[in-house]
Amino acid sequence: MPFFKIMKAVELKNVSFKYGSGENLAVIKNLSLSVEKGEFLCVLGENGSGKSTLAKLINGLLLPDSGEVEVFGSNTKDKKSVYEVRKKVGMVFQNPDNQMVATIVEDDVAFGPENVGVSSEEIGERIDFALKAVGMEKFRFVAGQKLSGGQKQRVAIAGALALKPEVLILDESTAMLDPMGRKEVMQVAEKLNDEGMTLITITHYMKEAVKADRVVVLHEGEIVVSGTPEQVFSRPEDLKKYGLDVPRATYIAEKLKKSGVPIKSGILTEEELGEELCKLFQNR
Amino acid sequence: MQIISKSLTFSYNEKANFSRRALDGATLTVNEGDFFGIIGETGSGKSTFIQHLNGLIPLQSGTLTVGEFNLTVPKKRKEKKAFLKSLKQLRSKVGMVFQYPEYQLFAETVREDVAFGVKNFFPNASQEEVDFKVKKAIELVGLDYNLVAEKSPFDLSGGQKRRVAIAGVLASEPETLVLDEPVAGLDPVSKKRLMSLLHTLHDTGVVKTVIIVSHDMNDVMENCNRVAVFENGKVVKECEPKSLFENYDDYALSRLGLPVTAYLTKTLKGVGVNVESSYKIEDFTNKLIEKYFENR
Repeated sequence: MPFFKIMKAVELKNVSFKYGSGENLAVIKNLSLSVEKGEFLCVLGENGSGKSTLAKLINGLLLPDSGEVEVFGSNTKDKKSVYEVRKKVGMVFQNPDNQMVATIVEDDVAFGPENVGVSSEEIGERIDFALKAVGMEKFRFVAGQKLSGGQKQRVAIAGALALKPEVLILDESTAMLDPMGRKEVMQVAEKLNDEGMTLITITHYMKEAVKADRVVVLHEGEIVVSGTPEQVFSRPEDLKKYGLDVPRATYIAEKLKKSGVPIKSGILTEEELGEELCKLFQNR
Repeated sequence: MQIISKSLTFSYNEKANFSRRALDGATLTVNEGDFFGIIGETGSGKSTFIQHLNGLIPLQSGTLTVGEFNLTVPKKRKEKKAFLKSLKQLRSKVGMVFQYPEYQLFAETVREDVAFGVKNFFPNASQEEVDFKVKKAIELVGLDYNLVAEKSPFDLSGGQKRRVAIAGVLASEPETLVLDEPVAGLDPVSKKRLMSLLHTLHDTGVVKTVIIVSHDMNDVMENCNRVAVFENGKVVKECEPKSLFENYDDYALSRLGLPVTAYLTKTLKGVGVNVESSYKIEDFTNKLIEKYFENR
């Protein structure tokens, strides 16, 4: 690769993957996707569409049957660099209770760096940094089981951050949380992205997709829709075909528009809709 | 069956010095025919409460009756034995669907998985009766028996797996169905289908009462006729969802959020426009349209 080329954070080229052998079991089909450094990408798709498989391909937990997966230029197939790749790509999964390895928050965050042989002084610094980044520094010496679901997921994110990743993947990390917990986790993720972290989220909450720079929709292992949230959510019929939906606010706004209410296009959030409705009714 | 709980209190590790009250005087009535919603933050006591309903957690203090079952554990040894035996009957009447029930599927085929529940609750049933009940349960959850019966449950989609798990619970022919976050982790279309399945079961009388625990206020608003808010092990409010979300100035509610219709009602009220919130998002949108073109 010529050194002057801008490096992509993640690049998938014609990737195919299937679990086991058999004809119709392909989970990812000839998929190409690249993610820029600092981008916030949201992956949507119905159950079984290949979203989680895609995430595991990106950090080398799974290797493609054909095609290439590169993370900052390192190929996941290359045995020498796969550990580099995993250090660069931090992942947080769905269930907060399955991701704690230690009894005390501090030890849990230290687990990753300890494993890759970071010196003890630096581990201390990394714990400081990681817990601060997720707003959990006050809970450093608290037992993990005393935390709420949202707090546990934030500690899980801190555990990933302690390895100083370049890319953070949240694979339905808010699915098991209550509304406050969901908000906490998304706020932390967005803040990290604002500070330059490349962020990939996988979710079923359409609401969480609206803040992304780009949304891709997976269907049977292929990317079928791709664009900004405004572009993607302006195609409700397509989305329904792929098991998805538009956010409720968008649904209401579109229906109002069809009935002749002069409301602007591209409304994605409840807050936007509320504001727009207030304006409309006041200028009526 | 009517469910009446009075001052239900429960601590995990009651005698240990780190014990904490998960339930702290929960009082609540669920009537037969309700499509009941239970909401509250993580740790507010929702799950502990529902596990009392079919005797999975023994009563510590307070009273609980589920239909004719009194769940107070008798002190005398003999009576206690009879009580524990009667729990099996209660468990067939109160079907419990836990979070992510598809993780509990285990058999090689869908038919065998559902048959496990049938054989458990109807030990004297003949093979023919078992087959009949299995087929009925699978069809009740909207799956094609001929298509799925001999398939491995693990080859089905997420939404279908969850249906199989619910079929396993319906196999005992419960009167009340309790579901802990039934649509968590499903894509929007599967979610809608599962909710409408629950309504079909409820409307056609297959189950008389449905109780759901949910973190999605829109789901509660759109589906339930009554709702209870849990906070620190107590039921702090029990009413219709509409009146609950219209009186949003409440600590617990401010943390749980509002359904979109109630949020818009509140926002518009702020500028002097009154549009009543509705259960169905379609009805609410129509009200908005009507209001906008009114007196023009």
